[in-house]
Amino acid sequence: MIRRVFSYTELIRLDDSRPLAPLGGLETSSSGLAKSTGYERPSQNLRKEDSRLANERAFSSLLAACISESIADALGNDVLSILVSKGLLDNAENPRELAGQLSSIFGNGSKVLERIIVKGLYQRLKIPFDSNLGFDYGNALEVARDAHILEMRRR
Amino acid sequence: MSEAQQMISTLLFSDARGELLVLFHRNPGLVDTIEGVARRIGRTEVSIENDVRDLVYLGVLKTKKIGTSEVILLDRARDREVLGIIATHIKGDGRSQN
Repeated sequence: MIRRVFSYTELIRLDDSRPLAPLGGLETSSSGLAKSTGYERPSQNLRKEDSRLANERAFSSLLAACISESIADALGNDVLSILVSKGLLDNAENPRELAGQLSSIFGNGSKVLERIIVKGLYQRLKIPFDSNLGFDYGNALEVARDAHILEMRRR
Repeated sequence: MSEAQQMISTLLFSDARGELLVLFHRNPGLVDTIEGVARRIGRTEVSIENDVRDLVYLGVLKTKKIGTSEVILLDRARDREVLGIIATHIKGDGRSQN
């Protein structure tokens, strides 16, 4: 008899209302397990973790879109395509990585691109952007990430 | 410094210049006075004068007299040419030297 062994997370995703399987992943008909407080807490934690990961993924996707759009708006689609084909934007969600890659190509101009990216991102998230304030790309992304998570929770 | 690197340096010299590029690339048909352009990017005429002048010198922007007003617009052909040179440069080695 073939029995698929589900991971704990998979089981929760399959049906949130279903009684949880024991950690070994074997099917059970015992509904008592679902009522056990010992199993409810990890389930809540995992849901939070799932939600956190979903928010992270959504933010990464938004950031990637803003980065592409900003580079294309500033320097055209051909430059963007070349950067993408060279894999220079592969780890764009990592601020240090992106700053390093942009700096290696555009020198001091990379700072201007970083500001354009953040300005675009802030516009999408409806965060006011004050160009007179000191600018740090990493910190600016953290502010945007927090605002995005708040927005997702409100929905 | 190569021609392409000089172009990159000119185009991305300041935040205002970056904003001007974005504005004209998003609105390639835009024709406006320097004051109007400045307002569109949330800056003053005085603060963008040098940036506009350098972009006009590079040829990406051009000026035109309409009546008594001088207006700025994108030179699409030269813009394509400049961005093409930069793209070719990046496609090659593309590393910055500054």
